[in-house]
Amino acid sequence: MKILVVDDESLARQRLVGLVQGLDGFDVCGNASNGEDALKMSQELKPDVVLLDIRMPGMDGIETAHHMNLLSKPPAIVFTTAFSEHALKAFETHAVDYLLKPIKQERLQEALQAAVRLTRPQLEQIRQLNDEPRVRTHICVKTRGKLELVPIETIRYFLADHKYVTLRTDDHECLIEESLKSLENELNHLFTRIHRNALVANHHMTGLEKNSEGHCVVTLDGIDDRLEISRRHLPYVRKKIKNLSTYK
Amino acid sequence: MSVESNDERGFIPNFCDVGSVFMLVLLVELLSLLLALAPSNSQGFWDRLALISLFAQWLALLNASLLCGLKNWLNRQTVLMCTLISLLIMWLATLLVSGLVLHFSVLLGLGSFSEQGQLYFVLRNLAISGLLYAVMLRYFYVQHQWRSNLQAQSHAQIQALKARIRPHFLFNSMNTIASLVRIDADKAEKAVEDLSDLFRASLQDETSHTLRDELELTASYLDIEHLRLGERLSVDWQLDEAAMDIEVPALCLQPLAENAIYHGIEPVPEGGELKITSHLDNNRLCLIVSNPLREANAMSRHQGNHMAQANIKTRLSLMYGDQAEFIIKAEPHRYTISIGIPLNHENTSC
Repeated sequence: MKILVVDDESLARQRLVGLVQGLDGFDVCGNASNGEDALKMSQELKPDVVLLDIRMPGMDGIETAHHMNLLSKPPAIVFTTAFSEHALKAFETHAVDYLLKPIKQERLQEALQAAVRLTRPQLEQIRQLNDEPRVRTHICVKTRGKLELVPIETIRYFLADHKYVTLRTDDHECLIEESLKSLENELNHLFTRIHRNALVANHHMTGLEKNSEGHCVVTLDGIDDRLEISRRHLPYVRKKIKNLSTYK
Repeated sequence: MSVESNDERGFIPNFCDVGSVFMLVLLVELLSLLLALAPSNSQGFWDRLALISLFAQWLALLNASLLCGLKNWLNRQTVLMCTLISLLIMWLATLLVSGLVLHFSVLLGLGSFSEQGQLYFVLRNLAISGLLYAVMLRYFYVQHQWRSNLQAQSHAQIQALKARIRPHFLFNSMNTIASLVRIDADKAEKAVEDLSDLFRASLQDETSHTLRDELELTASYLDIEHLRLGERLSVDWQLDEAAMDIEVPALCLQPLAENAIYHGIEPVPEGGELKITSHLDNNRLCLIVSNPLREANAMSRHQGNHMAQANIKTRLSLMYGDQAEFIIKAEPHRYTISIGIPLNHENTSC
């Protein structure tokens, strides 16, 4: 079985690699120090099991697991952590396996043999019950069978159109399969709803304009797109832009 | 009197509680006995005791029930208002009971009072109740102060115990050491020594040590974190040698460094620089810990617990009263905590 080791601390990684190599029937196919690399490697190396540290800077383990689940053949995941009381209760409730550091070799073997794919509801539950619930740092986009990570801070807006939602960054756009409603719920501290079909990044809004048809539109930094603001959302958006500009 | 105040502000005891009312009855009976024993030529001892008890018990119970009814409202008032209002209540009850006694004076075998006698009787009662009230109030007030002081102190101690070492840090360090044992035994040895220093300090009872000790401790801690975080952690020390022998509260700096790492360095992929500064300024020792702050994580994680901060703040104020300073400055990209410790302070902790 191929194992991918993911931990931000180099010493922790080295130890885990050593432990796995000491087990019969398991091989380390690679190791990564962050979620982004881990996702890339799991696409290329197709590991059977990923040993994934929960607490990592940037994209944490739980978010990484979420994104890995979008792969056509998602790997099984075993989380590793040093300590985090409440979250671990949630893991147990939802039958998600985890290893406590410093990890014992016997326990590692058990976990690797029993490792199974995680389901989306399982991951969603543990994300919500985590000690410090974090919103995603990236949106994972599937293009031509490949996963691509888009950092949330580069996103200008989400625009809904019939079935799909378009995501626009400063240099490209792509389709995602999430609903605008769920994105709004999750990212409401970073994005503002300006229309029934549009969610705009707060810190990329630069101002308001009137277009040729007399509608109010919002201008954004880095791109020329103008997005229409519905009459219902206008007072709120206006206030938001005012607040943001005084903050800047 | 066994009393409890539910509200932090209220120092008037809870008279709605059966136990306190019983204690009140007992106390009033003792007082009646005292008054009955005082030399007098009008009646026999038992008659006097009976009458005084009757009067005093009625007065006390009436008073208690009024205070019980008004308890919640009274506890919201300022101390001065509370005092005045409860004094008025006391006098009102005294007037009422005195009036009743006068009304039934013949029945009670007191004979009839002349008009001047009635006035004299009422005024005397008001004076006695007023004086007693003043004594009791002082007692309640002192007891209340003592209680809240005790609460604050034990709270601080419990917090101190809890805030000492983050379990997360302990297990991460153990993991680091487990890993180092195979790779670099010398470093592993050093890490075990540092960890022992840290635990020894946090298990000790001493409340203060020199700044040198505290800085060494903080350095031990940072050495361990350095093993774990590698190049992501860099520390800029700016220390004033002249300040090294000043007494500071034990563990006033290390927990802040721990917080700085946990919130400022660990969550950032590229890490950052921690700044630790000590300098003397205007009869004051200033200790400053600052860490970088990324806007993204400021939003999502910084509302974590402020236990270490609250703990240090409480200990500083227990040791130095309001002469100590604890200032938090959260700028968009940097989070700074400065502590000011007075050099020649009078001990205000007792």
